[in-house]
Amino acid sequence: MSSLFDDSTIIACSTSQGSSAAIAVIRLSGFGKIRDFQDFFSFDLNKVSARKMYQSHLHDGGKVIDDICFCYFQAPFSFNGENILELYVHGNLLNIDRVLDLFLKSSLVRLAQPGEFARRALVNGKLDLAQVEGLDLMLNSSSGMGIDQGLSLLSGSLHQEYLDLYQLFLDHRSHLEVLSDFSEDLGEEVALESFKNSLTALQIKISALYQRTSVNVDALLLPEIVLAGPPNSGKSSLFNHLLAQKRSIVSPVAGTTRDFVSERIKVGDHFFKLIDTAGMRESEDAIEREGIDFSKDKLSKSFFRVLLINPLSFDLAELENYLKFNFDLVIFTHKDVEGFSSQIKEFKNCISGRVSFLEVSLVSPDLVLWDQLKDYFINKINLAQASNPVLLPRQKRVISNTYNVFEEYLEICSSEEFDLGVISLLNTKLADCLSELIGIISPAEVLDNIFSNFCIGK
Amino acid sequence: MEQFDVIVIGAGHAGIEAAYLSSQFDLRIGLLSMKSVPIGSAPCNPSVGGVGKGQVVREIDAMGGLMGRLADEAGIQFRTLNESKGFAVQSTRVQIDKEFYAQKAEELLSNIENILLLRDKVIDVKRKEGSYLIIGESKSYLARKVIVTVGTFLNGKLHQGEEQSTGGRMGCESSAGLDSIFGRIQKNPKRFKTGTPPRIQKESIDYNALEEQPSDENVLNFHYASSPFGRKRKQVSCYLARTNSECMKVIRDNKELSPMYNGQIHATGARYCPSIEDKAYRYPDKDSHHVFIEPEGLELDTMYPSGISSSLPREVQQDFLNKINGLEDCKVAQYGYAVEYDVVDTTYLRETLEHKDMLGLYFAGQVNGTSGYEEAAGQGLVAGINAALALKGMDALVLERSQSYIGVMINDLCTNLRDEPYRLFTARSENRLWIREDNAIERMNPYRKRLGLSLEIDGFQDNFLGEVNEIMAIVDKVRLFDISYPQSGELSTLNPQTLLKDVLKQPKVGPIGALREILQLNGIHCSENVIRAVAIATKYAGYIKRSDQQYLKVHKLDRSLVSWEKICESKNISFECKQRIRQVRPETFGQLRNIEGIRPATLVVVAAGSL
Repeated sequence: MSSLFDDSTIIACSTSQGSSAAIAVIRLSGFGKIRDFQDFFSFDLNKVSARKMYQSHLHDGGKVIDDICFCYFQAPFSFNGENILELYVHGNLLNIDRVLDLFLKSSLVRLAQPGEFARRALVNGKLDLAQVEGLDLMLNSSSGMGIDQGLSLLSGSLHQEYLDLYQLFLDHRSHLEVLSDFSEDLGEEVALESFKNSLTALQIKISALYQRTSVNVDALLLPEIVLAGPPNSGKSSLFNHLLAQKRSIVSPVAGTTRDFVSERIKVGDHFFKLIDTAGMRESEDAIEREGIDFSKDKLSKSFFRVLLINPLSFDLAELENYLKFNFDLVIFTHKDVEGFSSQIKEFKNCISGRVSFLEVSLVSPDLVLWDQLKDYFINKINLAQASNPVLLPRQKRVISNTYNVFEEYLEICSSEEFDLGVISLLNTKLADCLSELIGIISPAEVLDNIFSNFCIGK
Repeated sequence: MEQFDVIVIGAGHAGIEAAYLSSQFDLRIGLLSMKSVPIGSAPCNPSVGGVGKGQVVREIDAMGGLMGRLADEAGIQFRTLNESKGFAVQSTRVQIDKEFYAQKAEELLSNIENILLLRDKVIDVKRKEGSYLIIGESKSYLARKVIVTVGTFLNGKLHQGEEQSTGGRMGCESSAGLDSIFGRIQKNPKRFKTGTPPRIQKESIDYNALEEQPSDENVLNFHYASSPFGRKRKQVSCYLARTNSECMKVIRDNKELSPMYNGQIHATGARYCPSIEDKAYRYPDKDSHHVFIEPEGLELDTMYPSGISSSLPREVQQDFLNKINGLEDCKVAQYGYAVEYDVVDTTYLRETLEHKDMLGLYFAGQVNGTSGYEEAAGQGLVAGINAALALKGMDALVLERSQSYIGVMINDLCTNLRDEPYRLFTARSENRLWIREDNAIERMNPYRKRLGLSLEIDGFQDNFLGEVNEIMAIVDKVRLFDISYPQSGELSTLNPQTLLKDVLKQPKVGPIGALREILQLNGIHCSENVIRAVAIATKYAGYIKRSDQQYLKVHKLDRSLVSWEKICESKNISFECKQRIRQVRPETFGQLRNIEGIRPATLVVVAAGSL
């Protein structure tokens, strides 16, 4: 880690370099004096005050290479606590490279490592670990919810909740110490009672926090809508209808869609990944079989599960096997085909009250269908958000670890054999978990992992 | 001029251990004490041991010290504290007959050939040709090593209401301030304060109104050579009284007369050992506080009311005492008072207790800012051993904090500037499952061995540990069906295939009783101390393994270095935290974490920055 990161001046382009754009932002961070860069500027850098915008030419030797604006943020009043110079250059990719090269060949600067700007913010105490994680979430999340939580982390409010929990724990721990070392002064019953009360207070907080991690995180960061059902139930037709474009090969031969096909769709403020799975059916065909196993796996990890059934070619006895997968919605297709209405009755009896369902014709789908589905998707995601879930995998893992240790701790505390030695052993373990949650124990690997997710220049 | 290898200045609990330990080496020891102060006296509470401290007494005993032996000799009431809370936090406390204790201490030390008791008051200590010249009022002495155990006597100042006088304790003069004796020694910027309660005449108390606490005959003696449950002195009871609203009102109404609260005393007292004034003013809603009425001796006419130390004026003390049930007509033999005194900055000490800037000079006991006889004795022991080892040209001995409470204490003292008197308790240790009373010999024997001595105690320990290992081997290998075991009770319900070690871990089996019974049934005789050591070790074996792993993990981070100067420059740390950090000057993350009042947010900032 130390070999990768030092405190030399770093440079990187902070805006997207996917394609040329009108403007790109290049950032320099960690230099001593802005005057060091005078050779490159036509503007007299002695006249620069912090947080004001200036215009200048960039020189390479005698040659003008760009006409730019720039702004100087003086330490410690920058986002990472260092001197930062932001250059607003023309966004042609070649131009960006040319400007970067100009600075890099001067040996005043080196190219930043991924996440290095943010890492310096962490080291300088401008951001804490949770805030860096929040930044990561904000920059890289594909859901509105991820962005919201990223912001909440960045502003420190979620972290504050963790700190409050830690404080509650310290309070509990002091009651434990009173019980072991000072109960004679205080009176045995009083000491025991306040110990138990503080334990209950802690239990309430930890359980509440744990509840918030029970949501499937992957499912929320880019929620997947999975269309499943037996072959020829109409999955691909629905998929295509939803995308309003032909993607899968729609054929009347059972088992044509061998693998799943996915596409990103936007519903309201949220991005979803829509997935058309292979038919869930016992198959002799090895290739097809793989596709089927894969779709079962996809199902269990997905956010919204739609089961499609053609009641005209479906054995009612098999329905229970499908329902094991906890579908959110069942769609009965082929409403336009004769015999549908008589066939559908038994299915309805079987599932009513257990899962919502729709009856549709996919040959000439009704425009209302889209609105109906949209409501289902958005309702579910709103519901998930209402529980204020914790999204970050590291935090989620630490919380669930904390919860497990706490469960064991509770058991020891309420066991007949009330042994303070053993209780404090587990109490210390709990302290480690909570320390990790608030970022006290942040092994280098955790940081490496976080920063490796960053693009250069963030 | 008389010459010594070691001179110990002060003959309190630290001083006598220092002298006794260094005398076990072939050295000439001088023990200097002021004329009016008894040797090994107990000027405050009449007890030895207590939570965390009982462990220290057994550690001292296992290192060949005096305290356990004297406490057994003078013990008049024995108790196990925390009896219902597991073996790790259980501690022994013995009420002692004060006069008898001091008498025994003097008798014992004066019978040791190479210790010379010197009665003199030290005026100055100077370096002289690699040794120290000690100038007393009547004579001068030359010593190669000096151990300073002067307690509260440095610049001691007594307070009782408005009355102030100089002195180390009531009826004794004080010695000059640290500055004039040791020009180059860094003082703790704070003076410390301690206090003692009024003493009550025995026959003026109505014992019927109090709850009696008789001596417990099932408590093991401290000293290895004492018979486990034998008692040398007649056993008497302690009594429990409680303060009430009337009593607390008297104290609250006289707040402006309290030297602690009207600004007369500037020094800091221990939060863990609050005076009755502290309790009254800090917790205005709480009126009922425990007051343990403890006998000061069999012949002494006084009782010690523990928990109500006070420096209020005499008539106020009398007044609030008389409001307590059972003390309505009590007569005070001596009123409570507070004493403030200088302490050395212990961050200038090595873990051998030798001063870093003044080699050959060691500090131990209350002068280092600790409270309590046991803490003092533990330090005296370490200073005495190290002074002797240095003279013998042997390696220094540092007790690790993972192995003993004495090690915890000395490590805490040397690495952190204290801002209040330091008291040991079990929560100070990260390893309390391991550092218990029952395994003190096992823990301390490796250290004792490094002294290279072969005295009676060394032979005893070899035998003892041999016996422990033998019984342990039986417990590890033998199954119930291999032996005779009780056919009624909890044991009879177990699968006969169960290994004995697993039997002792059963939640419903009391491991000590069960092992004792099984050994008896099978005709194996061994001492109670061995049975306890094996039973408890077996009970905790799994947990201790877990604890060790946890300890390693946490300590990796705790050992990482931090720069307190840098932390104090940070703009993201609160002013209060910085103040604490500047006082303590932590060098590692662990020290930073241990500072009281440090906020989690501060730790987070530092952890992120120190990677």
